This record gives sequence, structure tokens and C-alpha cells, in this order.
Amino acid sequence: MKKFIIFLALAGFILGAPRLFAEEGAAFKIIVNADNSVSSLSKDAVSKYFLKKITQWDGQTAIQPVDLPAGSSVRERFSRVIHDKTVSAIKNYWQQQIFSGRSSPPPEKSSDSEVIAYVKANPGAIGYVSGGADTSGVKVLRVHE
Amino acid sequence: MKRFLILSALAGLVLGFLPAEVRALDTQVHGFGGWAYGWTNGNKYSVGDKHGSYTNSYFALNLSASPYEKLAANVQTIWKTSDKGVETDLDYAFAEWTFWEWLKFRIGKVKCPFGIYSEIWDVGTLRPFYGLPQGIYGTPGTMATKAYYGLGLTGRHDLSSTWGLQYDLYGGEMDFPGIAETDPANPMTTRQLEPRIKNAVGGRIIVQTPLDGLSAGVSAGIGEIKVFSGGKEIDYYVGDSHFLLDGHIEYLLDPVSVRAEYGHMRKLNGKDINYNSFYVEGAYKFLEHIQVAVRYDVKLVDFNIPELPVNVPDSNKDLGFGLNYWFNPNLVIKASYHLIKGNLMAMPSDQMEYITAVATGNFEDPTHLFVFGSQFSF
Repeated sequence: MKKFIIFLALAGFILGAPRLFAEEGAAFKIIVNADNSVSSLSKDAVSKYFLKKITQWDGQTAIQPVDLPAGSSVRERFSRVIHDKTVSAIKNYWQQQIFSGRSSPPPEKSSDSEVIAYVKANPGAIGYVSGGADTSGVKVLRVHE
Repeated sequence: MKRFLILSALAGLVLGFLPAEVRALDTQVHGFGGWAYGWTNGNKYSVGDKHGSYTNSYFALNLSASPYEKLAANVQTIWKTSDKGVETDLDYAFAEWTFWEWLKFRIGKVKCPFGIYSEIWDVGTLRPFYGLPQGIYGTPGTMATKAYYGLGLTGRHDLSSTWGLQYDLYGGEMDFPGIAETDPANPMTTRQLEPRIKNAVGGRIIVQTPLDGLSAGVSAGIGEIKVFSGGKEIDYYVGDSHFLLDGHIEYLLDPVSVRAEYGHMRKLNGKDINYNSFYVEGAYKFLEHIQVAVRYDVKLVDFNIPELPVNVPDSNKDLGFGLNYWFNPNLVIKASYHLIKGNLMAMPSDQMEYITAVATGNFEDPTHLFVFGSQFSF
């Protein structure tokens, strides 16, 4: 009986663990304008785009990141997974940039649908929405390490 | 004040006459402010005095606009109250043209890239103590200034996926915070001195390291110092050559922040005055909202002026402990206690008391400072 319980626990962990990570990865989707030729990006590149450390897609088109509000749970997950930081730490980064006159944060849209509308309307836009959002009309990017 | 009004009007005209569709493009309004109560056991130091000072408050409004992709305009004005009344100033007003991310051109009254805190001088939500480290950023003998008038180049460049560089080069003129000094013509009164560095050239390099949150930088500047009082240039013993050097290191990764900075200022004209200052500041945030902080800040001056009275203070040592409550990154309540030894910066607020103390060598030392206040930003 004891061996059976240990076996079940191990099986549960082995089968369950990847799902947990998958759920973390599926909590949000990175989206760009449908005309954007890019189909995948590294996590580091996405982070730099949202922090405006890289500002152009191809030397021609300006990258226009767009955020969800600071209180959004999707933004919290995005921040932890992509930037490896809390939303508070990212807000501190933007305070430093704003008040030293160096850069300004991305605009904030209040919902998935507003982010999608912004991305549809701007060829250089990049945003993120919750995993369950209807993303027809925009392109969902693959993100790798 | 006149210069402030003219610059404000010009900024308003530039922004106001832009077409509506241009104005709508990436215009942002931000601001910050604060208030503090400061008490000391005798001397005046930072925001405190022996009567308990409630009148330390300030508010700054920051406006930025990018009417075109490569052009950005930045304006920041500040209002301050103190026991002297209300002061207004234009912190900066400059235009920036982006050639590439690694090369941007700036012109106007531009934030001075010097050390850790010059560009974010009054932004209390970006530091653990209410006041800045006094050795480098306090008066008298301020080593840094908020802005320069002139033009500069700035940029950033990734050396690899983990190493990065941020650099600045500038030239022009700099105002330094004014100080009150005994009037040689009438030793019973004071005169307000306004130091300016003419024909200044300076720069800064900051290296971002592969260790997340760790950066280090070096700043330097040189120029001709002129001292004005009542709008007129005066002969002053600080000389005519002004040299600044600063090295700093920062580790900022929630919940920890550690900063250390060394500043050196030298004024030469036959007479050689050397200022050296160093501080180390650490803070740790726990339970999401509570932060504890400690700072040790030293400033030493070597006047090398034989005619100065022997008892003129030449050192300031400030050991501070802070306890903060952060509602969120934009609002914080701060309390701190500081033990200050030396009277270079902690001195009697009454001029006669200061003159007597210099004559007799009988300063009140040490000074105890307690600060309680709040700072915010948006």
C-alpha cells in the first residue's frame, strides 16, 4: 500500500509538473500587428522591447509596446516571466527613466480588447493579453529562452 | 523668477501651437513631491532646525512630449517651500533628437549627468532617505548640480547580451545651489552667493554588468568658476578653475538597494581647496511594505587658505538610520535619525551665533537630527 502511494505521488508529480509550467507559460500571449514579419522572439528581446532598450524592429519601424494596468494579474505574470522582476521593480525603473528625462513608459490599456485594438491599429505595436483572449486579427508570437 | 517665467511661456507656446494630432502623440504628464518635519538639538542641518521645521515641502511637474518619432521635449518645474518662503525654478527644459539609440543630441537646460542622484535630485520615491547624501549633494560645497545650460550628447549601447554602456558628454554653463556667507564688508550680516561654472565640459560613463541590478559609473567635469552676489560678479577666494570627479556603484534589485559614491571637488587659483566626500547607503524591504535603511556619509575639506580663521569647520560625518513604509512604489512615509559630527554643514542658523562659534571654536557638536515625512510620485 505504502509503495502504491509513493508511486502515485511520483506519477502525479511527473505528470503534473510540466502542466504547471505550461500553465505559467500560457497565462499570457505576446501579440504583434498582423503585418509584422516577426513570428518568434527570445524572452530577453521581449523584455528589452518593453523597457525601450531596443526601439526599432528593423531599423525602420518604431517598436510601440503597450502595457496592461499595474494591478492586472496578467501584467504581474508577464513581468515575472519576461522581466524576471515584480511590477513594482519595473515601475521603479520607469520612474528613474521619466524623471531623468531619458524615456517614458509604454501606454497602459485597461483590457485585453483595448490592447488588441492598439496592436491592430499600430504596425510597430507589441502587447500581451491573457491566455484566453480572442487574438483574431493580430499575430501571436512564440517566445523562447 | 523672470527667466523661469520666460522659459515656461516658451515651453507653453511650443506645446500649445502644435497641431492637435501632433500633441496627441505620446504626451505624458508626471510629477513628484514631498513634505517633511525636521528637528535637531541645536544646529540647522538638512531639513531640520532646533525649533522643529514643518515648512519643508515641494512639488514638481514633469511634462514630456514626442511630437515626432525622433524628437522629444522635456520640461520640469518645481515649487519649494522652506523657512525662506516659496521658491520656484525650472529644473530643466530641453529638446532631444534621436539619431540612433546610441547617439542622441540634447539642447537647452538639460539634466546634468553626474553621479547617482543629480538627474533625480528631488524624486524621493527613488531613494531610501528623505534627503540626499549631504556630502556630495548638500550645501555648502555642493559637488553636483541638477542641470547644465548648453548642449550634450547621450546614448546607450549593448556591448553584449549582458554588458551595457550608457554615456554622456556635455558643454555649457552650470548653476550651483546658492549659499549664504558672512559679508566681508559688514561681518554682522550675510550675503547670498551664487556660484556658476562657466565654459564647463563634462561627461559620465555607466557600465551595466551581467549581474542583474549592478552598475558602476564615473563622472567628471571641469570649468571656470564665477561667483555672483546680487547679480554682480565678485572676487572670491575659491579661485577660477573648478574640477569635479565622481565614482559610484549601485546594486538595485528588489528588495535590496546598495549605493556607494565618492566625490572630489577641487578649486584652484593659487589657493587650492579640496573637497572629498564618500557615502555608502543600504536598504532592505520586507513584508512588501516596510523598508529599513542605513547610510554613512563623510565630507572633508582641505581649505589651504591661511587667512581663514583656524576654527572654520572642515568636516561632516553623518550616520543615518531610516524606517519607511511604502504604500506602493509611488507613495512612502519615511522616518530617520541622523547622528552628525563636525560643523561643516551642521551649523547655527543665527549668523551671530556662527561668527561667535568660529571665533571661539565652541560649536554644538554632535548634532542629532530627526526627520519624519512623506514623498510621492506619479
